[in-house]
Amino acid sequence: MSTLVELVGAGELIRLDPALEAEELEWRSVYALARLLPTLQKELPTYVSQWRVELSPIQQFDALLEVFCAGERLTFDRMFKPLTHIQDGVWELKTADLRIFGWFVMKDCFVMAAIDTAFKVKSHNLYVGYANMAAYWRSQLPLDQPKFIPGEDPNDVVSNYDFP
Amino acid sequence: MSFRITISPKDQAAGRFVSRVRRELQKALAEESQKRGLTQSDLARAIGVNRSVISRELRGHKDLSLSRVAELAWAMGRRPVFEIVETAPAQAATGLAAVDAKTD
Repeated sequence: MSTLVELVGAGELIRLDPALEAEELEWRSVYALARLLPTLQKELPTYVSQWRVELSPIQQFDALLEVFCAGERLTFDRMFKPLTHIQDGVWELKTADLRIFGWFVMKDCFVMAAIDTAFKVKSHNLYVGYANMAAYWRSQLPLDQPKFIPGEDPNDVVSNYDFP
Repeated sequence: MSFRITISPKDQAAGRFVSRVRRELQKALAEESQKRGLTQSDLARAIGVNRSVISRELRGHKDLSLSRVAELAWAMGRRPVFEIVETAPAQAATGLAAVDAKTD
């Protein structure tokens, strides 16, 4: 069994650099399974917005990564929730056009297991499928126990989640 | 191994700015909702559009025009404050380098 750092060193995980602004500190971190690298490098830049809005999915991803990693409050109202529990400790981070699935190794430390367009996930109802896939890859990863934070309360997995 | 997504500095700046504006509107609505029960329907009525338009704009499913930002702020009894500040030296240099590379 290995730590996150050891898994990054072994090439099983990659750490996402959020390219924060000079005045921002990295309060939360995002890792991704190494198998996601081709998707992040080649597919994500080609995704187009189903809503035909000015922000491309990769711009939405970058903005979400910044907000998440800078530790900003994640939600302000029931209407605008970028973080949702799916099942079995697998969470969904979302933008208008993207759905990102993964789990929290510890508070404020997210591991991405899958990313896809919201259109595809919703039209084919892939929520449970991706949650099962994330749980499978989590089980295969030689990560120290406990591998994830269980439960459905977003306040357990991120700090500064909600509007007071 | 650390990985940074491939996005141009220009697209990054634009995406982060639009995202911040939308988040400020969401935050203001949440505050006014908590303070005096203001809803998206109230905003829609005040502006004269369907509630679904407001919902889509605030969720990022529809673009926000600058005038709509001001209208929403007005409907919340607020006003937007906007300024353009100098970036930190490292970021400014990166921006200039990007422009130089494009114009070379």
